[in-house]
Amino acid sequence: MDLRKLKKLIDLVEESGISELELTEGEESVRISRQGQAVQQPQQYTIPQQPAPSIQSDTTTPTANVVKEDVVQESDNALTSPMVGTFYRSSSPEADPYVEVGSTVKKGDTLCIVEAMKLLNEIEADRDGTIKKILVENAQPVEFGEPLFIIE
Amino acid sequence: MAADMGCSRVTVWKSVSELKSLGINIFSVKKKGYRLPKKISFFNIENIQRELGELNQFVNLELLNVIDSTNKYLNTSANIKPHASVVIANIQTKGKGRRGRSWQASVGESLSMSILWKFDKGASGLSGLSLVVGVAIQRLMKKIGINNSFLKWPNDLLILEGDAYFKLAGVLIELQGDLESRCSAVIGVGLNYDLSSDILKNIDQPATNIKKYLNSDMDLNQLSAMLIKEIINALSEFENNGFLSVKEEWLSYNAFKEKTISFTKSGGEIITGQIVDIENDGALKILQNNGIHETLISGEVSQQKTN
Repeated sequence: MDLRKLKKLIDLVEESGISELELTEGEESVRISRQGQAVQQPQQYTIPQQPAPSIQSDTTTPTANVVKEDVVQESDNALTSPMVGTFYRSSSPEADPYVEVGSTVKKGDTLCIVEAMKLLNEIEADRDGTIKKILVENAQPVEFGEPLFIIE
Repeated sequence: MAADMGCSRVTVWKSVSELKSLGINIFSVKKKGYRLPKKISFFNIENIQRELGELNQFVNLELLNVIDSTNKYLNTSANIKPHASVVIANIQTKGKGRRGRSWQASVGESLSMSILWKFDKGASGLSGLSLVVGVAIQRLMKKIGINNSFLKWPNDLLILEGDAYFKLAGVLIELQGDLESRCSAVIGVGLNYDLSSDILKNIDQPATNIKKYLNSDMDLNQLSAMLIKEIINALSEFENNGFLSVKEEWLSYNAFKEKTISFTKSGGEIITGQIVDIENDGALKILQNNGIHETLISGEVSQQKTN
């Protein structure tokens, strides 16, 4: 994880008003908390010699430069939650998830539901692309502005 | 029958099968033909409009004969339909409940209605909307003299008989659009009017009909119009004043005041305690039996069985 990405994430946390954001990417994990001073707790934080697996799969020549660009792009490509609620990956407990990692989506496709107080919000893809990452587990609470998917 | 209609018996049989598949109860009477167990009262758009009075200018009312789901219908056409569009269906074949559950309806015996409301604010500003719609339905109950109805958080309408609760109406709201500045809400309301005992038995919780509690012979057209009025008034109020102005009213309708309830969280975890308050955004505040307060925004409330 490079500094530009960290900066982006911190900005994202700052803007969204969420109190804490934890991200795990391969073997690296970072937690940004707004309570008191912004604390970064990189548990196994080293300068990436190897790109994270998901990035690698996309990059035929994984040089440091390429990784950097991908990483910055990635946080730009995050689809965030428009409200506080519970994140659901399918329309009902029995139904298949709307999307999986690797699914190709078109702008307007439903990706998930965020529900609060029986108010359902079908979250749609804001552009065409591929689901790179799903950042929240099914039936878990999400905050306003919390990144849900990475679409590339 | 076939001769009267100028078609073959097979055609009649096919039509009857089709109607049966839409949930219309038709008996076959040997050597005679077919028979309805009772007269079907379809919705009458003129009657509803007459009842709406002045509000007619404001509401775009549409009556559909058969639709899968009135919510789905408005959701897919939200961009082209005007603000305050109201859709009522005679037959709804795939009514939706929370988390993909189905909503049971039957022609002439229940109301399946959806209202499209376009807000000038984003989804995050709409918390509390669910509870506001519940309050609107409860206000109608008071107006028509039903005094044993209550709300189960966030907006189920329940009838209390003895110490048992029966579901009378349910609400499901779907949001879409530009979620930061403008968004549309499709508010689906289902109300049991005179469902057969067979259908009531099919519902996954104890349920009842409003007809049982009406003093007058108010029909579904009248009831629907009155409900549209209440909901639209409450929505306008919500747009101007937010949820806070009806919070105390909601609390006064709380079905489980001072009673122990179970709360099933979206992940499946169950906590037990008492409802102590509603937060200013509509979230439920529970004091757990272990003394810990918890604020909840999604999940199911149910009454704790007392043995």
